[in-house]
Amino acid sequence: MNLFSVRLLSKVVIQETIRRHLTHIGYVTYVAFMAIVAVGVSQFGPPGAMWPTLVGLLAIITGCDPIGPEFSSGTLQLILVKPVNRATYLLSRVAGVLCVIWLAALVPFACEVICRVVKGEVPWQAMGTTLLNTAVLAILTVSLLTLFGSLTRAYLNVAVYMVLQVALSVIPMMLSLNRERFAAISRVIGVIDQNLYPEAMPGLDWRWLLLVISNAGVALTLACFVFRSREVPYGAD
Amino acid sequence: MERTRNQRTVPVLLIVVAALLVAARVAAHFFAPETPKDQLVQWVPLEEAGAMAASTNRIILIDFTAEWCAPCHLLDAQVFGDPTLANEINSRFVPVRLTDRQREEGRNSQSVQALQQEYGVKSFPTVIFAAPDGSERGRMEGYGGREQFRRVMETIR
Repeated sequence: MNLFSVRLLSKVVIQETIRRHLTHIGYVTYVAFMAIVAVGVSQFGPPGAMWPTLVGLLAIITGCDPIGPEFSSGTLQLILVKPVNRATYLLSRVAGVLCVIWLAALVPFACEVICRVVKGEVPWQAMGTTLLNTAVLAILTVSLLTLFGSLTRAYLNVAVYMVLQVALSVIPMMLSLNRERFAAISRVIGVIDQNLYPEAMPGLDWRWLLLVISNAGVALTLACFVFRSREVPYGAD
Repeated sequence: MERTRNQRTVPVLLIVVAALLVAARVAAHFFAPETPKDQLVQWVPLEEAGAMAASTNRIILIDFTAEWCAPCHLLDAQVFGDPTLANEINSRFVPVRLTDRQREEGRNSQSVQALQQEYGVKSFPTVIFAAPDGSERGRMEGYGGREQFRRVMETIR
């Protein structure tokens, strides 16, 4: 068996994912909303303010789509009767979702640039860095949601994502009541928190970029392995 | 059977790329530490800062930071690790660094806790500019880049 014979991405799946999102009224409305926010904030705020948070939210909204909900709706069962490699399908869905998010991020970015050109000053470096960091952070968010989606059904991946995020913040506080005993555990939880939910970086830091991308890579690889051995019985939830 | 196996094969390329990324990250951690070995800013212990600021008639710059805070490391590298800005900080201010240990150790030392409460520090990094008597002259919450820090610093007289 030639291990390199498996394709990494499927053009058809990516195109279909992009098409599905771009023709969705909710997506279009959200992008328009981000554009309005970017225009408004550019009048008084610092460069790249507010809209990166909205892009992060969009990453959660669109990133929860692959696998989990498809499993519950029965779509996945239908797709997997075709001779499509599971990993290829999963990675293509992720790639499609990421394209959609990056495309959405470009809209408020472009709006802010235009507004700042009119005002006469464009802080290219700060804005470019913000766009890059936002785009990279979206990869990790979508990868994690895909990993959780490959383990669960419906939109439980979002619940796992949120609950884990809150738990990683709250548990160290609770453990601090007995800091001598739980210092090591708190430290480990802190490291996990930094790796899964890294803070958005205000400037260009290649170490941070490497951290985010490598974690996304690991999450996607794990997702492929989980999805590989998952049973997908017929019938929707 | 063959079809099922093909459908379930994980692309080797993905595993290789993920492994390379992790290796690069580990290598970066060992070969390029996040904070420069030579501290350009001459940090002054908190206990000595007040007296030094009063005797030299300088403003105290308090950097509230935390080990887990990624933007704090960027502030370190881009501002406190920049020779020009570090010189300016050393000549115009009495720099004090207070590292939050809440997350690692569950609590901070009394002096750090008291100053965090006094200046209402809610996020990291927060840089406070204070007169020798402790009254606040300016602040920068979060890190918005080297230029923003420079602009804030210029407004402090």
